[in-house]
Amino acid sequence: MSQSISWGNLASVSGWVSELRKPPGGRAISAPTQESVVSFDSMPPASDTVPPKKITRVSPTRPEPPRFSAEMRIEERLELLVTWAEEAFSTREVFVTDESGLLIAGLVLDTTHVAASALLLRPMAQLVDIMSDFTGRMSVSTRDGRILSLSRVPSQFGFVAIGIITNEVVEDHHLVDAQSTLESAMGENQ
Amino acid sequence: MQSIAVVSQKGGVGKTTISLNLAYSFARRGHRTLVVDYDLQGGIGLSLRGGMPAEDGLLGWIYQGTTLDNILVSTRLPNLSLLPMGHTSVERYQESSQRFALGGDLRRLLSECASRFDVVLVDTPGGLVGATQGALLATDSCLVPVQAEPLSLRTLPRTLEMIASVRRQGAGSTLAGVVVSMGNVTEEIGAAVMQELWTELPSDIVLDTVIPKDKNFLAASAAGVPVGLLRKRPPPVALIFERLAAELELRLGLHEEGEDDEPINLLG
Repeated sequence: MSQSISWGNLASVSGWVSELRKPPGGRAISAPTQESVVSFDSMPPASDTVPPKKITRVSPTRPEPPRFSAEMRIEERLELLVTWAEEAFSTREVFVTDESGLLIAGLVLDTTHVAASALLLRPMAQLVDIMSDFTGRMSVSTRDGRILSLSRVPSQFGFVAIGIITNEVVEDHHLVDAQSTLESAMGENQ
Repeated sequence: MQSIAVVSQKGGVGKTTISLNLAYSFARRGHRTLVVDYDLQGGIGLSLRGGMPAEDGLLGWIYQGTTLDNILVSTRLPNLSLLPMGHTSVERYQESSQRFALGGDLRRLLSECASRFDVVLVDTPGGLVGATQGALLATDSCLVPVQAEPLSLRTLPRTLEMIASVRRQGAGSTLAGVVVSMGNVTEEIGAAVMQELWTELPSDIVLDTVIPKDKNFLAASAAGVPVGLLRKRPPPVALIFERLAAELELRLGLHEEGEDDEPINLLG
C-alpha cells in the first residue's frame, strides 16, 4: 500500500471537516434574564473551586455596530458606542478610558475598574514590543466572578480602551467588534 | 450579496489568479462582481496591465476616508469592478497588517458594498494569520485552493483548522470548497495528491473543477490580463473558471431559480 502524501493528516480531518460547510449552529442564546444582568446581591458567594466560564454566544438579535458620520462630535460617537455595547453585551457597565484613567464615556458602578483599566493599558503597550501579534484585547476576572474585557486602540489622544464588564466571558470575535467600533468612534478610520 | 475569501496557508498556490479569473467569470455570468485586494503586497494590482492607481484604494478608504466611488476601479466588463490595496508606507505596514487581522474594516466595507454587488471576492496573502484571519472573520464563505503538490496538501489541515477556529468564535466563513490548482494528471505525484484529496475528504468538500497547470496562465500573467482576455478567442483553460463559477453558484445559492431560469427556446 502506498504511503499517504499528506502523512495521514488529511484523514485525521475528514471526520469533522464537513461541519465547515454548515452554517454555525447552536450559538444563539436566549434573551438575557433580569438575573443575568443586574444585582450584585444575587451573585453567588465566591467558591474555592471555580467552574469553567460560560462563553457568551452570538445572539441572532445582536445589534449592528453604529455608523459614525464625519459631522458627529466625538462625544456623540462615544455615546452611541456605549449605548450599542450595553445592548450588544447585555451589560450596564461599559466605559471608555485613557491611559491616565480618565473616564471619557460610559458608566461604571465601581471606579476601581477604570483605574485598573488604565493600569493595564500601560503594559499592553510594552507587550506589543515583544509580541508583535498581540491583539490589544484582554480579559481579567474579578473575585466576584465577573469579567472585565478591555480592547485598546490608538487615537489622537494616545491609547484609549473600551472596558466591558460582563457576567460571562465574551467571545473574542465580539471584542474585535468593540475594538473596531471604538476605533471608528475615535475617528481613526474615518 | 455573497462575500468569498480566497485563502491558503501556503503561498503561490494561485489565490490571486483564481480571484481575478473567477471574478471575471462571475461577471460574465451576470453577477455584479467586485474583487477586493486584501493583500498588503497588492497582488491584484501587480497582476494587471497598467497597474492600479498609486494612491487611495482600500488603504485610502480606511485611513483617509476616501469614498467608495473614488476607489472602485471599473473594468472593460460593466459587471466587474476592482478594489486595489493602494499604497502604504513601510512604517505603516505593520500597523495595517495588525488592523487587517481584526476584520472590522473589511466587514464595514462589505456592508457598504452590499447594495452594489452580488459577489465580492476577497484575495488574501498566503498564511493563516493577519489579513487572512480578518478575511475569514468578515466574509460569508471561503474558497481554499490546494496546489497539486505534497507541501500544499500537507498545509491543508492547518488551513481547515483555522477556518474551524474562526467559526468557533461565533462568526466567520463557511467553507465553499477546496479547489485543486495546477492539477496535472499526467504527473505521478500531482495525480496522487488529487487522488488523496478525493478519497480522504468528504465528497462535498472538494470541488469537481480542477484548475490545470497551463502555460496560458503564465502568458496571461505576463500580459497582465485575466486569461479570458488573453485573446479574442480565449484558450480552453479560460472556460475552467466558468465551470468553477457555476459550481460555486450552486453551492452558495447564487443560482436563483425562477421565471428567468426556464429553459430558453433555441428557435426563438
